[in-house]
Amino acid sequence: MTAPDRVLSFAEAREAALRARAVLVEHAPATDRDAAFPAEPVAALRAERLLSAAVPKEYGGHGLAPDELAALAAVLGGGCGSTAMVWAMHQLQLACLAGAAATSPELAAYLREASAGQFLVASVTSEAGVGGSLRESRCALVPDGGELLLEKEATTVSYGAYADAFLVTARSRPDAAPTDQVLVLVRAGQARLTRTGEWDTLGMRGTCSPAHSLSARVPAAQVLPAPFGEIATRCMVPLSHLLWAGVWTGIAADAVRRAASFARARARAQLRSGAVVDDPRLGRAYASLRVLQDSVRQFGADYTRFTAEPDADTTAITVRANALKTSVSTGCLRVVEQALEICGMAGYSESGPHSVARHLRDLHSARLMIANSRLDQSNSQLLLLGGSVIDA
Amino acid sequence: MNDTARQYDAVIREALVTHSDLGDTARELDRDADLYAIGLTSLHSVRVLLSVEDALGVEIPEQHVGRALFSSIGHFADVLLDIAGTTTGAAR
Ligand SMILES: Cc1cc2nc3c(=O)[nH]c(=O)nc-3n(C[C@H](O)[C@H](O)[C@H](O)COP(=O)(O)OP(=O)(O)OC[C@H]3O[C@@H](n4cnc5c(N)ncnc54)[C@H](O)[C@@H]3O)c2cc1C
Repeated sequence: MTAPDRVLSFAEAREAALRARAVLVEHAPATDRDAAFPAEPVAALRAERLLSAAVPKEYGGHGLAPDELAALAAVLGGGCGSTAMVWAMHQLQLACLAGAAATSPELAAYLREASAGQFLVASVTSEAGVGGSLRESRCALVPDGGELLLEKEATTVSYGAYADAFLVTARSRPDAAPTDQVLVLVRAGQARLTRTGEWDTLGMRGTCSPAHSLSARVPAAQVLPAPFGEIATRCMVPLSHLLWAGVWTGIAADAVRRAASFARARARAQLRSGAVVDDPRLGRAYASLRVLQDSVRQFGADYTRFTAEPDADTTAITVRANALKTSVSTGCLRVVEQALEICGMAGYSESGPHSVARHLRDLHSARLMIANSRLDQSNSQLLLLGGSVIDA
Repeated sequence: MNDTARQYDAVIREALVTHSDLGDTARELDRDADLYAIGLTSLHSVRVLLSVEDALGVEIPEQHVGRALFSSIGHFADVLLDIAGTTTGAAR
């Protein structure tokens, strides 16, 4: 076993992310154009030991808190949306595992191994026939001679072909209800993963997320002990929305930076010709961005506090996480549209220092990644429970 | 002061004359005089920055841009000298 990693503080991790971002920036155009897995950028994150950011210190990671992870996601999002999303989804898997490690020696050991080896863990929650409904599965774990068999037709599996392991949702037994789900760790070596679809999308092309069929045999100890419903409410839903929102604000911030650089060049020319510089649009774009960034930070801080309180109200955190997701996903796109108007044709171009084309395309995925209408629908129902969430 | 330093000094003073409320007094100001203390506003300082960049054909990197840049003509000129020294490619 390798020596335990030196723990990075948040400030050190942020510096490391800024260094890695240079590699993300360099590879972003090709990653996007070729819908290629960002191998060098992920290698750079690995070299900075940033793949174990969310793993608690006792399991060899850096033990960063949710709000800190979201801040790093935004840093990376400013370099390459796809790579940042891969990193964010991976951290989410680690956080779900970390929640189970205290009661599962098997999963605790896996986390130590994943930190030491800087493993990449993918998510297999989507499934043919259930759409984007996280809390329903068709496939089930089937007991077979002390181990468990699993066959799943997943509609979207990001970086599946490059992952060291997967966290997969399934019904707990062959006769369980669709919502009686568990989350199970499947190592790449325990699975046969077959690509069954194409990934030629508008944006987030580097996440390489085609449909796959997964067939696996795993020891029963690799099932996370808590029911999936609990993991989803306490960790997967709020943290995914927080980290994704971090990535999206990072993408939008980079577009605003590009707009500011464009506006600066334009103002210089205007001053030379004696014209008045009085374009309010950069200020407006920044104002929209700032509100979104502050919402992410505030939710990050509140969710971080929530994770330390076992008895906290889960409904409130769910409703807020859903609201954050739907508003940041659409808000960031509007910010980039504002940047596009400022940069004009230079923004519309697919290349050049003032291009925001990739930003726009990447951000169109935000509203679909768990459909906003589904989340609005859930919130509309949860809000019928009472008004305390509205006032808080 | 060498020639380059003298050129930067003159360009900054001209920009202050044209783009701030300091007017002609900017030509006689002490190199170390606190520009904000004698009435430079941050909005004017942005215009001064842009017109200096335009006149010299350079782009001052983000990390050097901030309120401190305009603390005095001398400080601004020193930063420009620094940038010219480290990034000869900055000139367009
Ligand atoms: C970039 C990206 C990466 C992803 N990576 C992964 C991954 O790694 N692993 C993974 O498992 N998944 C991944 N996903 C998929 C994601 O988890 C969802 O499964 C997916 O976004 C939902 O797909 P959908 O639009 O086909 O389904 P649905 O959510 O079912 O939406 C289809 C239509 O139904 C509408 N609808 C809304 N509410 C309801 C409702 N209550 N009932 C029925 N229909 C409703 C929707 O608005 C939409 O019009 C990724 C998605 C994206 C965009």
